[in-house]
Amino acid sequence: MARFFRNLAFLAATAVALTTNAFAANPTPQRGGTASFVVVPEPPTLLAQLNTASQVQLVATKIFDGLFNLDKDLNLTPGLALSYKLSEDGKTLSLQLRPNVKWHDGKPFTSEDVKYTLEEVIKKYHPRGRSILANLASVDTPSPLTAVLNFSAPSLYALKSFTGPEMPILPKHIFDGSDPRSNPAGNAPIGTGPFKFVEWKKGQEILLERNPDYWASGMPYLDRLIVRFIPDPSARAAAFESGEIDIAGMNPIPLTDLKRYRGLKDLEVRTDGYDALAGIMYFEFNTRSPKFQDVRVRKAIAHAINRKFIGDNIWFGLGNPVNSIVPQASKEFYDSKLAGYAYDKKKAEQLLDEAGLKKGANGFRMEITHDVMPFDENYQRLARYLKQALAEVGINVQLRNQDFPSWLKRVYTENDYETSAYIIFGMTDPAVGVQRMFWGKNIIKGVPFSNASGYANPKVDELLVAAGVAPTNQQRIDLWKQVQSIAMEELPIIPLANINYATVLHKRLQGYGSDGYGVFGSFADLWISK
Amino acid sequence: MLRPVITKVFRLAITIGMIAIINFLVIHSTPGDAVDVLAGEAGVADAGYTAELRQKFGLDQPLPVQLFHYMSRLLQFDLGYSFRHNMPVIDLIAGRIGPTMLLVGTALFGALLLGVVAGTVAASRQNSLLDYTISVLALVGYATPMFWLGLMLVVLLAVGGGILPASGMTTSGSTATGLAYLIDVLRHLVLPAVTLGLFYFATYARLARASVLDALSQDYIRTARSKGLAGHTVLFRHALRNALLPVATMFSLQFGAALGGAVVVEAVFAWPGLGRLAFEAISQRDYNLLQGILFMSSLLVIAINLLTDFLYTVIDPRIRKRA
Repeated sequence: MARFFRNLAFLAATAVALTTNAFAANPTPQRGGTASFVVVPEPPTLLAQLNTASQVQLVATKIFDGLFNLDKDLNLTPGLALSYKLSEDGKTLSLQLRPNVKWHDGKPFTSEDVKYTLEEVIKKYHPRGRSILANLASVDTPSPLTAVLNFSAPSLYALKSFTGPEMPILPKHIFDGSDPRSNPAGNAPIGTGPFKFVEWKKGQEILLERNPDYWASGMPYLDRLIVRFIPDPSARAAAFESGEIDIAGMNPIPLTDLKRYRGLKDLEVRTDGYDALAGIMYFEFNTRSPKFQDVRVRKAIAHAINRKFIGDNIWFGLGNPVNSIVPQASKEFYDSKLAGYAYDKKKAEQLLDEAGLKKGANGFRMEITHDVMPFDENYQRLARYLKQALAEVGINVQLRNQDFPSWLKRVYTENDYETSAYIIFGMTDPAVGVQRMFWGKNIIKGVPFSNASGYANPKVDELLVAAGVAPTNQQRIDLWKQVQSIAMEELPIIPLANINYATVLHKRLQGYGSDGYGVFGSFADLWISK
Repeated sequence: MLRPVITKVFRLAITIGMIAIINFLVIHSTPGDAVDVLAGEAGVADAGYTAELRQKFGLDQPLPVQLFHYMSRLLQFDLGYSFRHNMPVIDLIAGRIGPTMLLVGTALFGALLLGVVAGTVAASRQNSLLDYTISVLALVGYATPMFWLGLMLVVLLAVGGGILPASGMTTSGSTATGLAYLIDVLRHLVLPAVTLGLFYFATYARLARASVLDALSQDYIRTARSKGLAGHTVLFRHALRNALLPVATMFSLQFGAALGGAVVVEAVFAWPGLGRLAFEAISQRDYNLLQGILFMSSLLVIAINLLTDFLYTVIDPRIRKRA
């Protein structure tokens, strides 16, 4: 493992190799055609460097490139960087950049763009750039095609963040000296990616056209890509069925329709391409509440929930029970040996009895509230299931509903809740996606999806900090396994399921799923079969 | 002569100021803010990000200070800046008000014209088959939920037959100009305008029918008839003109409601209008944008009301004389 990180140079011809791979699995790609891609809601900007909302990333990834890409197994592959070399102490990352890459306005791409993007934009304005690149001291540019990232401490977890969706590279000559947030290029971006920005008809669509000078030869295959915003789910479904749309991801149709869509002649439903998101659903306790001080109560609730039922019937097969706080998609870090808490009502009742919670005259042992995550209707079904499942072991659950901003405020700013359940993204590294939920230092009011449960264990904090600066991946994996086992024993959060998403595409569209990104990929390799 | 005008302008200014303050207070009383939403959507965000944004957006200031800033900007005709969209609010509104006015205007005026004609015809042939047909149609139109009607039209005419486009204002990817563009927009306008207009058509038809019937039973109609005037002259010159007053009142009242209805219709048909922008601004807590849209909509409603006041005097000269 260490050697892999010490010196792994990509083959200069990997781009060709990638294409060949695609050929092996599919018929020969055909050039030309227009594809319609639906994104909801409409993005407020096209700079994913400033706003990492999925609707922004979904569009920006077609226009911009990252330093790296990820293959289906989430291994790094070349992007704007052809190869990289990490020093033995893990503090210096040297990047050999791809030659002859041009911005959409014809200017050459150089190491100055990398330096500018990381130092001036990501570290200052990116929603999580300050923390992911906390140890990035400076970026040197010894030559136009060499960038050297100097870290004050090893930051291996950051490596897979230098990718297209997460940290796309901006053109310095357009943004230098301005506040990137108010730069008009945010609404008419210039990138190096496979598609050039043409026009944004606000409220309707964004037109992108083929970049003929794209660095991957022959790509992109499509002449045009139209990004459309169809806000109403039923209207979206109608547009799919009338053949107006070629592709949309992140559950573009209600999950209740999944089965029917799988049977439709012209449409295909795919669930791959979401490993880089690594969605995982948590049931969270507010550990400040006196009701959840006894770990037996938390464990009893874990035993009372049938996680397989949730995955199969509430998430319609897009959920898989998980026994760790780390999503299974983070393959290296996920500890598959953890036993978890099997669905066992007797065990649950026994634990509750031991905790001294006897059933009262009304048949209930305790009353708790549950704030329903208001993101989509799936959470409503989940909440109703939880109410029913916990009632069976004598816990009466009061459901509370509110809109998304109100829920965020209640949970993360006011901590005025007892339990909630929601999906978080584990991202490409648990240090980026999982740590925030369990790190005692990350109990910060007013920051959504931070440590709201109030869980703080000095031992866990110590392990997390050590893992953050460990110079090898193996050390990080060992430390993270310890974190997982403590968290699963103390259970401030019950991990319910790994979560996948559905992508719906028209069968004429080919080439989906050749990398680890799915709809978050560049679409350079998508083509229309005529 | 000048005095009533000044009084009126003064009253208007007070009304507009009150609207702005109420808008501000209602919007700011909702829990959560734009930074919560931005950071929530971001998936993972750190404390530095949220703190910096709250400071930049001015959300770290006490509410009275924010209100003071808002009102003083408004006095300079500045609707503020949408931090979410990184654009001045006025530009965002300017880009969307056209499609909304086109949709609401077509729906309301179409409904008004067709509704009054249908209602008048029904009244003139009371208890005939035509009257029953129109009345039943109007009743159904009155009772049909707007979103349901929209979806049914989409399913029947767009998905099923492919006769009319179901979403957007222009054909996706189209770069048409001139006449071709106009025809394209009109084709896209049909379904949303019918969806939004049907309810108002029904309202006007029922109201016009009742008012015309009422007018037809008045003494002056008998006088006109006994003068020997032709049936249609009596109907249109005497009965309808008197029956129009309640219709005009209803029209001005419903303009605001139609703007609200446009939110639903614009969402169903992906129409790039103000309603959708407002709806998104609510769920995204984009305070400045939402205040701007509400403020502009209030101005529009006030303008329509003033116009109706003027129309009264055209329809009924007695009002002018009284004033």
